[in-house]
Amino acid sequence: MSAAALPRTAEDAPAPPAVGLAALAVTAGLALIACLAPLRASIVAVFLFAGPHNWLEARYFLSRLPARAGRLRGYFTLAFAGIVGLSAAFLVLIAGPGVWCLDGEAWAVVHGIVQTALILWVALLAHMRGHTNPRRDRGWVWPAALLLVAFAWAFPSLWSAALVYTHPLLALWLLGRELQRSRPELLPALRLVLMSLPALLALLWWRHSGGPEMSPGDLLGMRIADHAGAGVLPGVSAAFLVSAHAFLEMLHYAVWVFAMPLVGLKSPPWSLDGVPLTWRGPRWRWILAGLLLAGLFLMLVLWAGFLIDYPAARSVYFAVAIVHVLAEFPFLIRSL
Amino acid sequence: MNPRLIAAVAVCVLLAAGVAVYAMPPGLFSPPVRQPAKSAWRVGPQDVKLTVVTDPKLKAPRLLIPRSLLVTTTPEPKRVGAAGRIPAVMAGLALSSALVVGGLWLAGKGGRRTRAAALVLGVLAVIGAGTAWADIPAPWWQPRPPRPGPPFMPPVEKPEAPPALKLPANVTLPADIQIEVVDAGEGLRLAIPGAARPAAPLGTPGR
Repeated sequence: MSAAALPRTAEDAPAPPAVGLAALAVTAGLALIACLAPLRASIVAVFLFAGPHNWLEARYFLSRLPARAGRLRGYFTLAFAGIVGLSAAFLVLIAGPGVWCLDGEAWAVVHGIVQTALILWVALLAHMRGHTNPRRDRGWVWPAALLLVAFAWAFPSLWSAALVYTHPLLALWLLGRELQRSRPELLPALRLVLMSLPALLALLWWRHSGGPEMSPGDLLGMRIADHAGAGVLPGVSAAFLVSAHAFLEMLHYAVWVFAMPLVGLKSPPWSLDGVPLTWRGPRWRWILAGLLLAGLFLMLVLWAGFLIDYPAARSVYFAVAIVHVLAEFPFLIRSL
Repeated sequence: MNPRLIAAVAVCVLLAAGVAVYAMPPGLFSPPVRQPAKSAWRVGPQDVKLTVVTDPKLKAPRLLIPRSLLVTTTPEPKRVGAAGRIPAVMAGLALSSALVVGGLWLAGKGGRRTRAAALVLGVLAVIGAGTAWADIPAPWWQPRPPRPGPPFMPPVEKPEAPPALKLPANVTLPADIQIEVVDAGEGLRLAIPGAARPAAPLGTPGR
């Protein structure tokens, strides 16, 4: 009896086209919002979802940590050391010009060192991943990493802008791995969304390329435009950059706040059932519960900060949020 | 430890040292030598304020011209310090290391044809990119600097003798006056012999 003739289970059956169409409609709707009101979309999305998406991301990562590190002890030690060390380094980089009075040349050197450390950390994680099951040849990692190091040194501003735009896509990559692991029947819907992204970005480009140039009158608008790379890519419309960044940002939040809890968590986010670390004993359960409660408290503090002084709270958030950006790498590499 | 890895690291270190020595300009770690500021004549019209003053010590009218109106001092060009060269050196080191490590990785895997094709493609890509890069004066998003050419010399017109006008503050001038270039000051000063009178800028109504 051939494999093709085997009866398919309900889980193997492809999802109805309505799921893919609904995902596509949501993606197109987010692109439309980002197209019509990019600055407002960015402000509201960060206010509503910046805190919750970090908390849910932390909850997901807790569920992916093994109860005992075993042979992965080195991998996770390097991962956590990198997250802590690189977060501190990035904070130095952000505060450098103001606090330590770094001039342009010194800042460029510090920037290059930090970015090199980031790339080599990711490459080392990928290299270590290649030596655990399932084993794969990861020899290409080092030449690729060195090419990226060269790019980061030669074009520091472009590299930073590339990181800003790559981060939202990492969430989609992680979602893809999670779907492949637990809900493969939903993969076509994700592929439909991924295929629509270039077309939607092209539509944003077409909408904003011929129009008047964005000139935000307030400091917040200028910061959002700068964060989207408006100063880095002078040949590209600032309005397009802001709307594209707002679109990808909202997509990133949609993945972490709605899609990942539905697909990747076996229990509700507030429950620790199914988290492998809790199998180590009641003390670990209390520690993890404390961590989640602390996360909830930080989320409330962030919301209060947004209400008191939105621009300042947003700047602080984006400086500290580098932690969750870095945390995505080890778990993504581990899932590959 | 993998012998291939040791060889790769050794080659990288050697290459890094070579590139660093080659790329390091002479005097990289020596203190910068300050170049004297360059001066140039100011050519063309300028807006200046003319002040008429009296000086009993003078025997003939004297036009006092500040040095800053005659010559311009270009600021010393910003010196690219040692730190400014590091990004380019590091980018070059990383690129060359990527080529070496990638080549070693390719050499260790795949068939002979795959290796040969990858090597040819890699070399062609590096040479092609280097040639193209060398011919591009600036990245596409930066405005290109103007091409060097012969210095522009504005045509010199012989000024016609202007008709004599009455100066303010009831000042009358003889046909010949003295000029004096002074170090300080911003505007022109016309000092005329005579009793001390308050200074009157040109254009103010005469007393």
